[in-house]
Amino acid sequence: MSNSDSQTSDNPSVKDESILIIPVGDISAFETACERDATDENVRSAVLHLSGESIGPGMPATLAAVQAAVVVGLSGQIDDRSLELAMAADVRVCDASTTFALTKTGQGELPSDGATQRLPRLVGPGLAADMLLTGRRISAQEALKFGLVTEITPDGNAPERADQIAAEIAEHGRGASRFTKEAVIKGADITLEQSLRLEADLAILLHTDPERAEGIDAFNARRKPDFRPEDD
Amino acid sequence: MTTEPGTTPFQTVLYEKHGPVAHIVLNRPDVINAFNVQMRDDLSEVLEALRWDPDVRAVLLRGSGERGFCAGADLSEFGSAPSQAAARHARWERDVFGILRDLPMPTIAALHGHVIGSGIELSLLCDIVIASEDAVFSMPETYYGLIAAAGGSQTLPRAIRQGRALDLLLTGRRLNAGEALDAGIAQRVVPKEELEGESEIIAAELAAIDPALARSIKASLAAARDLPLTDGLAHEQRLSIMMGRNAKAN
Repeated sequence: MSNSDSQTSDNPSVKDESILIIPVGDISAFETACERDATDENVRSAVLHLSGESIGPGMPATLAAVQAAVVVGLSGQIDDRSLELAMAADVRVCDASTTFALTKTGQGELPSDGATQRLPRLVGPGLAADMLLTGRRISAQEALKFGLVTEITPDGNAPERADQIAAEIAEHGRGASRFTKEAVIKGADITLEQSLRLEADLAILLHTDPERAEGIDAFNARRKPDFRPEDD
Repeated sequence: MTTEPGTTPFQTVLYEKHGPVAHIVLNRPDVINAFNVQMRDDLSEVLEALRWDPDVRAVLLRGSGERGFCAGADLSEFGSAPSQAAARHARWERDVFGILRDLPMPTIAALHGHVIGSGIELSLLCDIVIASEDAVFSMPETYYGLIAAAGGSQTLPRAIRQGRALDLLLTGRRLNAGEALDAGIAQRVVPKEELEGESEIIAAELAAIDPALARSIKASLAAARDLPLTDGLAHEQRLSIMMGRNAKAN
């Protein structure tokens, strides 16, 4: 139920402080934005756009620590640390002509910002080994087929589509989105049995969240939940 | 519904044994089989009974009515627990999801129409998922300020990998049957009119497997999910030797 009825026509991310816009060109601006996630309770989702910018070491780890759901719009050649940064986000959409590659092996280097760990978790061990060992460049279609991205847009539309998805997520429960992200990522490192305990505990902890009560009320009244009444 | 031999009446679930195949039908068609407390209790009784039933060699789970398998949790009953501690106690007192996941015999979920929230989660606790072409899937929990609580945040990434799972759980995106097949939520998709027949054929095939073998394969798959490879391989070896020993003894 991606609430397509939400008013997201004129790039809401520009004026909506609930959507954290993460710039990638300047590392200190990038870090400042990521820090806002932890300090600003208005932040409900985050978005960044990547099209082959130079990405500094450590940026993927900084992004991975953001607790809000992070959406990334991809275009151009998403290689090496750009790909590692994209993989540290949660939802990836790309332009139809986007390509992805890890080229460091050919230069005798091991990726060090997560590629060897996040890629197999996202696409499976076979394709991950192929990309890491041979440097093979994959297309947007292949990335979609293997789950590296979950949506392909016509060329030029990925940034706007990423903004739109971030705006939709910003309409969802804030704690619900954060707990969901935590459950999926932290639950991947433990056995299923243990991870189900984690999920259940987070679900019950969420009982204390007023947004949960509003969501249930809205469902039962067949109306759209309004988690931010003070905004409008 | 009439009560036939081998049939027990429940408010929200139909339970029938057809030879070695146990048929469980979620039966609140007026609300697209929304999962409520009564359904949890009914399912719990059914599953507790059949897990020890030597006659049951396969389980087929489906939903009644035209509109869908299951529309998700019945939120009209949400928020009624007296405290978080009580809610936590209730969650594990009748762990219907854990029992379904750990059944010793093969299980198959046959999905049609709406497969929402707990509908997806119930099916991911089964071994095989078959869907009809009209099935639509989504996990809308966060839209309502909720999170998945029937295992979805854990079973979904294990079934379809992390990226797709985060997308579905965070955006509430809808998938059609073909997309669910490509993602790995379903293993087979058939035309709507063939769903019942096809799922019964598969259930009969599953029921024909030697129960000890089926149990060992399920245990090995669980090991593959949770154990380091070397431990999983040793586990498989042990089970294989035990199976051989049993075969000789028979």
